[in-house]
Amino acid sequence: MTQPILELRNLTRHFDVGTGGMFSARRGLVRAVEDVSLTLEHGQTLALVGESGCGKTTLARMLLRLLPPTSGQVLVDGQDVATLLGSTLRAFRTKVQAVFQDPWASLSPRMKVFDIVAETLVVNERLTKGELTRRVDEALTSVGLRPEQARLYPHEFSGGQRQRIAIASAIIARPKLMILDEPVSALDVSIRSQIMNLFKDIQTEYGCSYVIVAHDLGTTRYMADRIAVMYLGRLVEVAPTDEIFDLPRHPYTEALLSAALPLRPRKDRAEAIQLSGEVPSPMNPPSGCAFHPRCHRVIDGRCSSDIPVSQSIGPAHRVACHLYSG
Amino acid sequence: MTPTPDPPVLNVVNLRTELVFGAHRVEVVRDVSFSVMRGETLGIVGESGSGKSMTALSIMQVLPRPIGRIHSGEIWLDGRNLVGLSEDQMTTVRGREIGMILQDPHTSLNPVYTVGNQLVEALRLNRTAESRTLKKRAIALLKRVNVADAERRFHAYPHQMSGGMKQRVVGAISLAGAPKVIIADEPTTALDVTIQLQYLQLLEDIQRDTGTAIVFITHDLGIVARLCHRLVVMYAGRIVEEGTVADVFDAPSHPYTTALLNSVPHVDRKVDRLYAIAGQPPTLNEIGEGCSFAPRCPHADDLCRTTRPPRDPGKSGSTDHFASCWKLRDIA
Repeated sequence: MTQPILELRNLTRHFDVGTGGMFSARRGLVRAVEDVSLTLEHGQTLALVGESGCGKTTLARMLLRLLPPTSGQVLVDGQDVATLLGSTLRAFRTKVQAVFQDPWASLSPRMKVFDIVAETLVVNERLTKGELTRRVDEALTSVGLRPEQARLYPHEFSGGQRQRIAIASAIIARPKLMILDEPVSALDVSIRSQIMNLFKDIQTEYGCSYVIVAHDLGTTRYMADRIAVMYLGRLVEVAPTDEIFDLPRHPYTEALLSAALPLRPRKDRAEAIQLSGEVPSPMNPPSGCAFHPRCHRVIDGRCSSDIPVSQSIGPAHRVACHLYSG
Repeated sequence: MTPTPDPPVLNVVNLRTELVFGAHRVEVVRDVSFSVMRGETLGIVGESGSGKSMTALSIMQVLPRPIGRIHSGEIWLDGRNLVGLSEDQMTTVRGREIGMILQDPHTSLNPVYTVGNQLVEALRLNRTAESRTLKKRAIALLKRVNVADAERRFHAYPHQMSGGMKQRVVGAISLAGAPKVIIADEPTTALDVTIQLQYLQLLEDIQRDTGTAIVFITHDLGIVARLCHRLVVMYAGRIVEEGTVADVFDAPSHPYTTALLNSVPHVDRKVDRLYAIAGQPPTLNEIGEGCSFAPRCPHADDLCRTTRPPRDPGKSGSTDHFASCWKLRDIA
């Protein structure tokens, strides 16, 4: 078996926070990401799914080495990213790229498109001016922009075009792994499908892998090969996309999917599972399975006392729930 | 509750709204007409720049000042035309007759007052309760929108609540005046999916209990399918299609509606490749004389580009389904 492009081993991140107001010495611990293990194969797309506060953005930031883990490891191409230094770190910075949600915030308004797109190469590789121009032209063409638009500033573009610029600046270094954090949610509905199709075309052309963070379940169904569902910092279920959508096993996945609104008038639709209450604070998660207070299939006793262990229930399908632990 | 055959509680007729920049004026709502019955939910669907929010602001007459103004048209609320009312008169309409819920619950509440304080203020302004019962009424409203532990939450500040709970409080404030119509402008966009579903359910419950009409503005067709009875689809300031949710979803008749439905990824089935509408929505000063969608439409010809299409019966054959497209009968 070849080495996966990405492997997470028991990845954990805690944040120290004050709890008693601005001047209080009382401290608390937010367990933003707790013991997450995952792998992603070359050329595949993994989606991280969950509600606000589930830790998906913290996880994405650790993948980019923007945030060190409290414990556990992120391995890209078999290398622990925490150990990278100097030239290996520079290589990592070209190998892994990111596209963020808001193309109004992620592009510097004072730089021309050429400089924005070329930046990764200027910082990390030594190229001649001619070579640099050729690569920028190529990147812009790949994302459906014209090379002469490199002379313009970001404010001269629409939202969809700006996101294309952000994508060009990510693919120019020919990354092997791209982290897409809500890459279409700031765009208009009619523009979203253009950009999603563009990501798919780029993947076919360059063979890169994606980790996509998205709250829209339709987007993840369309984009991802595998889905990882998170709840309060923990991974509750991982499986191939079709399996998750057609036969979700964890009660939270079930409820999350049934809360999605299909494009059909309500007359011909199953009743959704309504979760009671809201996601609890990650500072004070419930005992046992963190989902048990809202779960519609809770088992008395066990769920509130023991943390469920993640186990395989099929090829590439893992779930952390007492319903499946014999 | 099912819509009743009474006259509509809200009837917008040939509304035109414009933004004036010195000598330059841009029409943002172009000849828009629709009506909403008591107990009915109407969805207004469109992308940014479609005029959906400007339509809502026109009804409330809270257009951006000083540049926004209603150019012409009528807005009938329960038999009274709101266009031309004085600011003082509109103040009594807002809140008491029309409630409004905006997109972002983090900015629609005042951070320096408790939610109880803000609810009591809304109740007092609407003169719907006597002053000694205000607090009791406010707590009852919080309970009505399913805020748990309402007596304690009455004393909480907005920052002590989650987004979903804040949006419930905004809902409670909009209910304070027992309005005939609630205008909700993307109220669930900032909420998580499971919380969004709870909120939509709450709106349905409130409507069933009070018979209030709801105008729900959104870009999310899934929400429309779940919540609304009828919808209008807006593009570049105009209504391009209108009808019941079943008719429009089963027999979309305007190419823009069809394209929108085809470009949204489904949760309940796998699609290999999404349809992508070429180009982007026009900015409002680039709209020509013909059909606004013509530059992006695969079926457009010279007629479409030069002449505005009439409002014709839609493909479902229902008497309340309309679309404005020259090619309506030609496209399979």
